[in-house]
Amino acid sequence: MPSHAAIEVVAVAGGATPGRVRATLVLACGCTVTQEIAADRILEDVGGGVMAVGKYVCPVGHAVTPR
Amino acid sequence: MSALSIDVADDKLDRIVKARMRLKERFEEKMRATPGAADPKPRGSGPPNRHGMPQLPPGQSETRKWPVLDLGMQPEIPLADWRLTIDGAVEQPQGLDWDDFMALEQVRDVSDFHCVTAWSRFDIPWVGVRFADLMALAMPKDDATHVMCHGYDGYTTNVALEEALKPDVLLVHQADDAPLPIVHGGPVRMITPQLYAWKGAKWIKRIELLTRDQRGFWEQRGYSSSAHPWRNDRYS
Repeated sequence: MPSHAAIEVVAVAGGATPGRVRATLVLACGCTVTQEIAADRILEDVGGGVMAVGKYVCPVGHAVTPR
Repeated sequence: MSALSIDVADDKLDRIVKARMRLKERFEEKMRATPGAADPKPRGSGPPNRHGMPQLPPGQSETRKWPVLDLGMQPEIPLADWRLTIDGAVEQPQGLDWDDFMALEQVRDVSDFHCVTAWSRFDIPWVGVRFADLMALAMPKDDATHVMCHGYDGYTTNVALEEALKPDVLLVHQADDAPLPIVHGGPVRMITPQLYAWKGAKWIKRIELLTRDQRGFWEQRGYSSSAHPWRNDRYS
């Protein structure tokens, strides 16, 4: 399945297991996903913004293309 | 070290220097024409970086952390077992062990790291071997145009030779003044400061010279073969 970068972090909550969080992310394809990810994938940039690093599988299979 | 081994080492270094000059002659014009060196309208913000591009490419945010991204496995390779193979369209295929690799000229450099998942980390101090010196050992055949880099984790990524031969492209074994951690691709990974970082294979084990471009792991999944950060060149 195609994997996209996250362009927005909508929400982050504690995960079911230590070191993981439940994050709601908007992907580059436009889809919103909620899933458990490693806590260190959520980080602050130097301007104080929150981002989710890494690529995430699109739930409907949007191709990886410029949008 | 005996006089004979010094002579052998000097001879090897001399051959590498001469071969590096030959490669430079072959690829200099193409290297000068790459977007990272010659883009008249690079996008991004901040002061010029080491090669004249805006420090922060478009769509990127600076972070001081170094996130860990991989295919879900982090192979542990003891130094005694580590090997680097250089094969494909080369005149002299190479098989280097750790001692062979460390006997090559060790370069200290500082460069930036731009991940396609929108974060950049600036000013990372590295130690490693120039990719160009490895190519000087193996000498790409006249029809070689690209490399496919293979990691111990099964990862692959393709890079054009005119990008890979730039002097800041290294196979590094130190970062931040310490041995490269396993999570970041240690013992050895490649870095490509003028391209998105996925072009630098972690846990690198093989450099395969190609006579035409082929797509690596992410490139087969829609990501760019060229991967120029200052053109926001993320997708194919």
